Amino acid sequence: MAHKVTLDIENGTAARTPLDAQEEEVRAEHEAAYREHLAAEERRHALLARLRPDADLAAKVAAHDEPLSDNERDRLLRWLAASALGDTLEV
Amino acid sequence: MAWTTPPDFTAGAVVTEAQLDNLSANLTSGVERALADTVLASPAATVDFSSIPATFRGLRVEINARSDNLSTTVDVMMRFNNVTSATQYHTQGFYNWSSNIVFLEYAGSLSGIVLGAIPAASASQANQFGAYVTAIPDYLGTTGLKTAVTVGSMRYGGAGAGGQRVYLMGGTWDNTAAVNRLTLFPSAGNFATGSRFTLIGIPAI
Repeated sequence: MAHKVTLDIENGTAARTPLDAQEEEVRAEHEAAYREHLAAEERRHALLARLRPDADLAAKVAAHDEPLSDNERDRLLRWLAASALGDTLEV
Repeated sequence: MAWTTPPDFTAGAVVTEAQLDNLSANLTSGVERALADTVLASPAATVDFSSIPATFRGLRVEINARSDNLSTTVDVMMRFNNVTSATQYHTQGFYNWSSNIVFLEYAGSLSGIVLGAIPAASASQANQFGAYVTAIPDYLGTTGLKTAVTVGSMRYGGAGAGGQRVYLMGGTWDNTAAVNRLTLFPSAGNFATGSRFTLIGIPAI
């Protein structure tokens, strides 16, 4: 059973008591929301990893001395968009 | 309450009741002082600072904590006035990881603001804790929404290894009510034994 610690400053008391039913419910809802957030983050990181420019493209961008092909420009823009928009981007 | 400057007492002066009252008031809320402090003797799902006095200008929360959750880290959350509506909480921030910067955003999706992460049961060392300091200026103001700023750090790597992170986080509670209660809780599991939580009152000038 989960407990809470309450420090009542006005009365100078400290109490350790079990969470009541409503607090357990809030806790469960929060943990579910948090797991959902983590899953979304994982999806975003997977997407970023999939779209991340390979070493050749990265070197070409860094060198600035050769025009990018349409395909390379596409890949770069999609990766940049995914970085900015996170898991809301559908690709 | 604001600080009242004591008079320059001369030899043989009689101290009045009003002067003693001023001295008492100065010590109560005219100087920075700890309002509550606890070290957990056993795990707890939440730590509540309740009945926060309405006599200071700002608040500071200091945390040195760890979680018993079966993961490497969990986040530390903070809720205002026991309001659990996720839509009222927004957090932005970032931390370093090795040579990377990781940006975080929680926009109305969690029922509290995120202060940063602390080591949990799967961290490499059993005695690793995360330290955070959160400032809440003008907690009694009823004009603006409440914003808290946090800096902190923790490490979850093995002895001689990395895993150190530094956090800079900002969170807003979309509510103009004066703050009278703060609830700290981990995003999963409990705060572990030995975790420490302190609330400090910051006086007005």
